[in-house]
Amino acid sequence: MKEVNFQLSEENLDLKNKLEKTNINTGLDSLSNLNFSYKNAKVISNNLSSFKNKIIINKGSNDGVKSEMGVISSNGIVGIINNTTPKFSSIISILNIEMKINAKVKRTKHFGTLEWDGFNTRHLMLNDISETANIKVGDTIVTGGMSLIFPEGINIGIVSEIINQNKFKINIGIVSEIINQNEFNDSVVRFVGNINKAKYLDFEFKENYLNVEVKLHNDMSNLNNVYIIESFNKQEFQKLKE
Amino acid sequence: MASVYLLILKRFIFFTLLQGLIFNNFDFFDIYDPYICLVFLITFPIKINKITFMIISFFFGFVLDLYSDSIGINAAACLSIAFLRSYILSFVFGSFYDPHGIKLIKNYVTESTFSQKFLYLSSIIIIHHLIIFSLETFSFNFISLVIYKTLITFSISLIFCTTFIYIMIENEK
Repeated sequence: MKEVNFQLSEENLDLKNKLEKTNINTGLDSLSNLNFSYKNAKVISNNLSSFKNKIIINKGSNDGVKSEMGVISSNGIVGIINNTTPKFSSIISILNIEMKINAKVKRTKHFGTLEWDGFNTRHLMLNDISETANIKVGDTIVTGGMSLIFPEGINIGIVSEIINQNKFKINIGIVSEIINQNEFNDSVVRFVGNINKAKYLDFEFKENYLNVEVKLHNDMSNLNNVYIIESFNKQEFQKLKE
Repeated sequence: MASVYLLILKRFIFFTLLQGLIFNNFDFFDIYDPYICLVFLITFPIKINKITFMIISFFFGFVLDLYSDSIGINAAACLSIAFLRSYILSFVFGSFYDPHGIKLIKNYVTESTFSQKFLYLSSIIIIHHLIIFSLETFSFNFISLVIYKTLITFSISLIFCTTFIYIMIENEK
């Protein structure tokens, strides 16, 4: 069983590398345009109970693993390599409150920042998505591909809940309108005045962003085989950014 | 006196193994681990003087750190509890508390009211958890996270610690 597992993992790796070649280099020079390559590794230690969770895998700098490489599993993203020793390396898990990953909605192409709220190990929060984005529950969230750590379009999860920060303020607006229509006595009018002032104040601090709860495809508590992504164009990309 | 140190050594080994091997992997709702190791600090013999108590609890926390890959967080929390325990005891039990330690832990359990026991346990557990979680995040941005997690872990730890202390008292001579 173990051998079969190992063989399947190796085969998968081979196919992933081949797919990467065919995807990008259709009709182009196959050597100079290769962007990403994959390595496989096994999880040795994994913990969820801390605020800053770390995962340790059995590939290190001897196998060409360097820090700031992305790590994915067959279902979704896992984290980013933090430290390496010759035989092992540690990963900052996505279940880490300091982790921020660029992600986007597959259908509408709006992008935001993926963060962990510190408690729910099956969900992440996608913040900073503009309110005008027409996001619905059930939309697929994929990696944004803006940092070359993860290639574009790796599945992360689906939208399970949309939290609108302006919901409360919208309610105030509706209430004040209703009271205005009915024309109550003086005390109520004064009350309405207060509400309008509050609405005006809120307007200045209004944030036009949605918080989207994303249900992860992969279960972080039973990780076994993971794939390390090496990006070939990273140095060039960094040079341009500076 | 030697028998007391033998008892402490036994408990030291027992609780570090229990916490490190079993309760660190407890994973209640995936992320909450009860801190059963606090029983060691709560029921530490009172007649041992404070400096020795602090040194022992520092090493106790250090061993826990080795199990959980944390950098001195447990050691800091255990050391602060060792420092604060005499003040908490005198605050909670008042004149019943004697710093020379003629009374055993058994007396404290049987001869005190429910609110005294609850206050003693909960104040030690809450202080310990607050120190652990705030050192772990090490940032004021996550203060609400720290308080929320402290309260939930506190309720789990309280149940386990109380059960454990009663089991220990039953077997104590």
